[in-house]
Amino acid sequence: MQPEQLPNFQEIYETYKNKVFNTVLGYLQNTEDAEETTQDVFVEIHRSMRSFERKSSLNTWIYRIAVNKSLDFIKSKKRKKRFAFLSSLFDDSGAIMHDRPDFHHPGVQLEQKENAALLFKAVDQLPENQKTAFILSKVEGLSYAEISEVMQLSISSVESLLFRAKQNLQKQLSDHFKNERKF
Amino acid sequence: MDMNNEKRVDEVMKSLDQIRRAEADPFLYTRILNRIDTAGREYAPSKLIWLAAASFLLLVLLNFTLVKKTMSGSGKEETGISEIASGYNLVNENTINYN
Repeated sequence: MQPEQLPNFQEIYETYKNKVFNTVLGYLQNTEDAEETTQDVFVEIHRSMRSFERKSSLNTWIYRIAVNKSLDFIKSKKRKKRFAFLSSLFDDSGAIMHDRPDFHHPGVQLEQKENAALLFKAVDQLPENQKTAFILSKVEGLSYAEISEVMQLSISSVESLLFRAKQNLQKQLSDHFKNERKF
Repeated sequence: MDMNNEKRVDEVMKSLDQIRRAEADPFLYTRILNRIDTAGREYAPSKLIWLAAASFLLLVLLNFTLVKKTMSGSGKEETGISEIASGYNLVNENTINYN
């Protein structure tokens, strides 16, 4: 039996553009960065389409690229920040890194805006794997089975990652509210 | 964790329950095609680029050496001329020598 032909690039883009953008936005929490990384994802898809071996579904493959590109972006941004910090030590202006502004996801309901911003701030502090599982589950709405395919882990590992992510988030938020009351 | 704190944490944890998927910019596709087009262009092989850079550097170095030699050479020439002039008593003592 002949393997089913891949859809052309434009069809892939139309089907996955929002899935990719939403996943990347969940990670990077900045619209411009997410747009830049979404471009990187589709350039990579275009480059690797012919060599795609169908060991996983197209959906899983694209999510994997989106996750990896987001992680790459975060790593390169951290490197730049470290360099900026070092150069600021020799700078008279004393302008070091500013606190990241609150991120407001465009798909969050208006009445949940402030709470969601707080949650996204806490998500940003999670370890890489927990963050990936949480974003794919809560922001992108993937099932445990789908997340396990994207992350190449067993379903029970995904469950455990999500459980630990929730525990960490609850602890962070609880500490935040305790400190808030002190002032 | 007290009750009030617990309630607030729960509220925040549930804040993404009704989240809708964010939509990509409508002009993103054009930008992606542009990037693909740029990435697909053939660039000169890196060996050639290094060779060109080395040649340019060599050219600059040669120019610098030549200019340096010319400058130091012109100074010597002048000293030589004034030595001859004074040797043959050709220097006019009524004129002010600015050298």
